[in-house]
Amino acid sequence: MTLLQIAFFFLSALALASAILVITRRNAVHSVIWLIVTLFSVGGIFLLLHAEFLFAVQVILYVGGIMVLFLFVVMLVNLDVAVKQAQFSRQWQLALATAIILMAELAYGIYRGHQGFTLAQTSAVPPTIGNTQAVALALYQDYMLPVEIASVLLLVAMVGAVVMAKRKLE
Amino acid sequence: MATHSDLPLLLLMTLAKVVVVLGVLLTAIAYIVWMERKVVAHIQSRWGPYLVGPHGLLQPLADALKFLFKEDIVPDEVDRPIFWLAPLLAFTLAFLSISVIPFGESITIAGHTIPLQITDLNVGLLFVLAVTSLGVYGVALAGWSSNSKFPLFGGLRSSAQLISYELSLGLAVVSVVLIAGSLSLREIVEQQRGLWNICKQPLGFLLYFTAAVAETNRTPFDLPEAEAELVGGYHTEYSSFKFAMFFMAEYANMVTVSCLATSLFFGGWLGPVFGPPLVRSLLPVLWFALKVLAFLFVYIWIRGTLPRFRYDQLMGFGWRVMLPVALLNVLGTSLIVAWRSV
Amino acid sequence: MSTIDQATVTRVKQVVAARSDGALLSATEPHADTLQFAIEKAALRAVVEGLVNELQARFMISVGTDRRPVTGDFAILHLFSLDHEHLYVLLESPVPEKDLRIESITEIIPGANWAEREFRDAIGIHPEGHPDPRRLLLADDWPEGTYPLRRDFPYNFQPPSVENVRPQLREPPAGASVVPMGPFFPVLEEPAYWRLFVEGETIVGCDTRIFYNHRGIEKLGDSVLTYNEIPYLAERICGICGFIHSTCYCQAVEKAAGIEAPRRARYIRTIMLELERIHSHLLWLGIAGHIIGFETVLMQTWRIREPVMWLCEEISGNRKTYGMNTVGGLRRDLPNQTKPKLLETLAEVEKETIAVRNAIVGDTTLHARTKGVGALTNEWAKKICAVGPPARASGVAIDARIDHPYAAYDEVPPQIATQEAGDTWARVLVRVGELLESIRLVREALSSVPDGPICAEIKEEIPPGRVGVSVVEAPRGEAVHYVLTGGDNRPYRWRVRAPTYPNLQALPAMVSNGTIADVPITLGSLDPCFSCTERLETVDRRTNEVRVYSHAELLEISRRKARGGGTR
Repeated sequence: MTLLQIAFFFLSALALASAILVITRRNAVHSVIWLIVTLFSVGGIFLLLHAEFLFAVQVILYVGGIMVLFLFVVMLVNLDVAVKQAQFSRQWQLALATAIILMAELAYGIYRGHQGFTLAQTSAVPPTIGNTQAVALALYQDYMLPVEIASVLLLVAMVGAVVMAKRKLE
Repeated sequence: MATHSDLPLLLLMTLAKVVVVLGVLLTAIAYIVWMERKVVAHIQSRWGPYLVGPHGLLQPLADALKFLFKEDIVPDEVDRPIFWLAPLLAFTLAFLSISVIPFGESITIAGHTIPLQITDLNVGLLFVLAVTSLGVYGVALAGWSSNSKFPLFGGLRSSAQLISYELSLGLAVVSVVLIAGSLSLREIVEQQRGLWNICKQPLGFLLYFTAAVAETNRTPFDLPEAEAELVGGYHTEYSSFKFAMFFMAEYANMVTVSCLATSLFFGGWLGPVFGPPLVRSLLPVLWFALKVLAFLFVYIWIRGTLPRFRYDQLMGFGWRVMLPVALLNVLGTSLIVAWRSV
Repeated sequence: MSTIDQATVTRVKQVVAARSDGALLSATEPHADTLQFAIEKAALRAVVEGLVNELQARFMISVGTDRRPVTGDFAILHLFSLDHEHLYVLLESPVPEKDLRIESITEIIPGANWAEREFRDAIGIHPEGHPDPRRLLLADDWPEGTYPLRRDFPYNFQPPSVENVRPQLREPPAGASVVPMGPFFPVLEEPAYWRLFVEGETIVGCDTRIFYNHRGIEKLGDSVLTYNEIPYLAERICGICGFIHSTCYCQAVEKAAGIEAPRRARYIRTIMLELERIHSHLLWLGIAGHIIGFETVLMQTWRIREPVMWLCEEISGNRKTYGMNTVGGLRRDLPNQTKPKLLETLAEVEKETIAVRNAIVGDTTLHARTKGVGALTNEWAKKICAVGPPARASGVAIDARIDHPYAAYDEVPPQIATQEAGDTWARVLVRVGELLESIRLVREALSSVPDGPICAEIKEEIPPGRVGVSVVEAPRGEAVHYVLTGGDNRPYRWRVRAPTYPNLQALPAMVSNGTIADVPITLGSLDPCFSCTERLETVDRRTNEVRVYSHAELLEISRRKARGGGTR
């Protein structure tokens, strides 16, 4: 096993373990912290793939932006009340079963398809053009239309949120 | 990227650089505190520290010892793990971002050329921004875990403040990136050989500096710890070394944003170079240090001159003035860059 | 003495007679500027209403007196001032021991709220119909029915502590949460507990618990101290403007006993009072700067202030608590050789004060922090009976130095500085204006100090039963001292009302609808002055139980801690 592989398995395990902790913690703030750890581990995997830009974006947007807002809201939750409430909905057994089935399907697909399709290869040497540049080319040249559609959708959502908040104030 | 044979040497070198940089940084922080006390004292017609050592030069040492020996009070019903985690986070993150700052060109020892920078990430600037954006966790979690009203208020205020000003800070940096066409700090500095970016981006610099003051919670934006209304803000319940960690983190952040300002707008280590090879390779470090020191002085100067803003005024300023101006600046810069490249 | 219009005197008498509707027991004129009426308590409220509505009388304070050894009953006295007519009006009602109740006047005068609660706590006369009849003065663990200002209550008696008491605090309105400010808070140098009811950061209400550190000074004055011992205690009422209290007390006694202090003494009192105002206002300016995070102002104004303190030391031997006043004049003369130095220092202070003024007047951040913040409307300032700079900043042109001239202010009259806005910035401007005016006054007084004795010779014992009311315009506003002389070389009743007392009552209205961030500077802009702590109250978070630690217990705990035993 190379150093890279060790790192990969470590990060994957960390991501999975912390993800489980996210849903099992009773204290919402602790959940948020474990979610941050999950996001970091995924970011670490990006880094292993020489996708520094993605890593930075993951950290800045998800960990530094979105999760802070999460934490912001969760901090104001009355924990004494939250702790007394039921943690899982009544269908959790069903959900678990579904998840296990889905996972099994995926695993089977990957196992069977091992020869059928090639998994993306991580390159040992960095590509010739910069990581940032590659992402930029993909987003703004190859997939320009989808990106624009997505950004317009987000804008609509944002305007909608502002309008709703305003109406509540009045 | 190093090949396999180089790996142990590279690791050793990096380790050595980390140790040196950390050591310099910690000492620098101690003496920035001393400098702050002295400068503010003189602005206010006082003497400042004078008793421990000549001109109070050993005061930082005395302070550190005091922090170490103070009783570490952990109030009842705090969230202990997070109460511990928060200062650690604040401290670590504050010291992490210094790792991509280039403080000189390179130095050649025994045939090996060592770049004067812990690591030259090609997305170095993004790395710094990412780490700064994490800084908010230390503050927010400290406020929450203390299980007390004033820290919570301080933590919330601070998170809101950091998020708001991060946007302007990021946009100010983007305008520099547009000009440089690179996210590597080393490249950005190299490109300023002819003309410093301050001349091309005066508005960007103003935005950056203002937002940086807010990001580091300094006067006049030091609301998270506005003692008049929030006692000690997020670190009200902290004492002893845990408090010292917040304290050091604040000053480390000051150093980081000053280093970044120097690299982005004031040509980093660039400056007149002359003399024998060793001097030639060390002079840039001196220029860099002097520029950073000048920024730190301005920080302290501001503290001596301005009263604190009120919270709503601060947020209003951030969203209604800083952000639109920063957006316009980015728009203008990108238009010029695009027009030139056509 | 400024002239008193006899027509006004007649009018006051008419109003009181008409409103009391035959319940007027007596009408006397103890002094040219003091009208005293004794009224049956059933008619008191109506007369108060008449005074306030028809004559715009300003309520100053209430005095509850235990007169049982003399007349067999209690008495409640309401003190009013007709500021522009230079008159004091005293309304007194006997309260028999078997019916210890009196009609509350708080509905007519909101500013009488604390005064009424105070006589309830201290004497045990219940104000009927008081909107907020909670305990004000006494510690939470004092037993009910213990009235310390009654004559049969020994001055050194410590009642047993009541177990299982809860602090009498109001609950916030629905939807609001409580942000505590105090009892110990960084910008409150003294203990006071403000419960701010907030919705988000907006304040929707506020509750106060102060007097954590009542020192029983009035009790000492009524029981163990003689006339000439009290000035030294009075001076210790305040750590900043103590001289105003000893002056005010001495003037009250002088007035009651008909003693005329020599002109020279009156001039020197004026000089000391104004020096005190200079250093107090400089101190305040610094603290205001500190509160809004402007440390440089703090350091600079305190540096400017220091030479004034040295001057005081040179004159009196002390930086503070001068110990110069005595009944009939002064104990220490102003040495003539200090005059040039005084003038020189004043010139320097004036120059630097003007520099500070110019620096802060143009500071836009300061404007943003203080303009429109903590506004006190003219109407409410009058209703709550605000005094001093806060009143003047709200357009209420009252100044004891002009309205009831004392010391040498009849010969060196000050210019009154008023502002209309009523916000914190207006209070800053008023104080800075007063600061420069005080410098001018000291100069003027210095140039015209007459020669002569500094203390009147008092040959006879002060007769009992005389009344004296005196006011002094302290840096924080008007201080009132009321003295009822007694036998045995001691006052029978000595009542002190410090200027912060009415001003603090204005605070809830001032902070309402503001943000938490504005509370400290709003409170600070009143220049509040509580006093110093002498005991500690703890509230158990789980049970809400109160435990008050005595001085001895605190000492014991701290010693145990010092020995390494820990507190638990």
